[in-house]
Amino acid sequence: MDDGDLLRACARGDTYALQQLHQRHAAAAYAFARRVCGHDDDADDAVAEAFVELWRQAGRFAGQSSVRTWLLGIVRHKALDALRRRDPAASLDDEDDPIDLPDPGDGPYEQLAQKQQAEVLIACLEQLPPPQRECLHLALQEGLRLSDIARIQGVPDNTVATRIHHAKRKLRDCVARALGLKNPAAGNDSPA
Amino acid sequence: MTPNRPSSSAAPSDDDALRPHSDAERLWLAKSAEQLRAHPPAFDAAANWQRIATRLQAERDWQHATSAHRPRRRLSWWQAVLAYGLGAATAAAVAVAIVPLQTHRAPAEVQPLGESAPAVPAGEAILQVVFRDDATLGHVRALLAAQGAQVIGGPGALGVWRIAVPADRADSVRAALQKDAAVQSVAVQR
Repeated sequence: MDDGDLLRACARGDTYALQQLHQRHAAAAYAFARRVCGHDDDADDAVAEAFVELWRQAGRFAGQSSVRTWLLGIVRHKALDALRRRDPAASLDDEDDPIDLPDPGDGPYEQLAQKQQAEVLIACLEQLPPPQRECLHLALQEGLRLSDIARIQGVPDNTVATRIHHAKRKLRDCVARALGLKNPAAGNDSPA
Repeated sequence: MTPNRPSSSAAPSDDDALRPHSDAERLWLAKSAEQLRAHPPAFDAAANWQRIATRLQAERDWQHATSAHRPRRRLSWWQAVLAYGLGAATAAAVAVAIVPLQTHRAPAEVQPLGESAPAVPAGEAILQVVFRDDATLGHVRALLAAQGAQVIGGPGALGVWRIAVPADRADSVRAALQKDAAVQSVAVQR
């Protein structure tokens, strides 16, 4: 059964179908929730809440996106709610970089690809502003299209494109600094 | 974990949200995606599912208990009409039979101390007198004695005294009482 079939079964009250969906998507939902709210327990709560919500709303799924994309949208709301409960003053809005950094051109991507370690990458990813962090996670880890990310975040496609653009550059610079590559702009990549 | 669309693996399509500008950047992004997927955060899926299942079971139990205590039953049209008719008939019966009984009150009038008003003695007249609240009993007695009046009833609920005086002196006694500061009002009962 595909996800759509399982969701329809959920709408009919089949908890086994919900369990199947949980087995397929809960880990990805948790990784995303963890990326959004930055806290293990809150992320776990967000996933549980999201699946309960999915169970209740199963009959209303319109099929405009994949079930996983729909689920991640619910997870995002739950994770942001948890984040607000934990820190009401937390800024969940948009980018923190009104100053547009000069484009360094092709950076030392080859060196980064060779030397980069997962721990450094994850640490740098955590430092991104929340909306950029979400976008990059959904694009990198989930492989979602621009329109799907926009649907999850509830913003226009262009906004997502801008966020990803900024996020990539910040991530690259952060990793480069961590690896001691002092001049990321001095790379000699060949253009695509 | 299986991504929905593994587009970030090696050769992203045109609608790839990452939009790499060079092969080197594409390589770096692919490496980053691979590293992220290889290092997912620790997640206890079984415990998470147990929480969800427990909650769903609790909701089902609650709904079952609620529906058991408050059964919903739709009335058919004739049951609804019958219920409405019975309600209207009951309201009408209450309006016709019970409300008048509940709202009937005896006419407000001054009742004498006795069960029946004493007969007016022949050759005498009856005055109804109301004294002020601060009038003393001694003053009232002295005033009535001075006029040759005799208390035959009262005071009732409204504070009305009934006194008998000789019929030929009724008007003069009324005038005299009216002048006294202790008297609030006085009238001849016709």
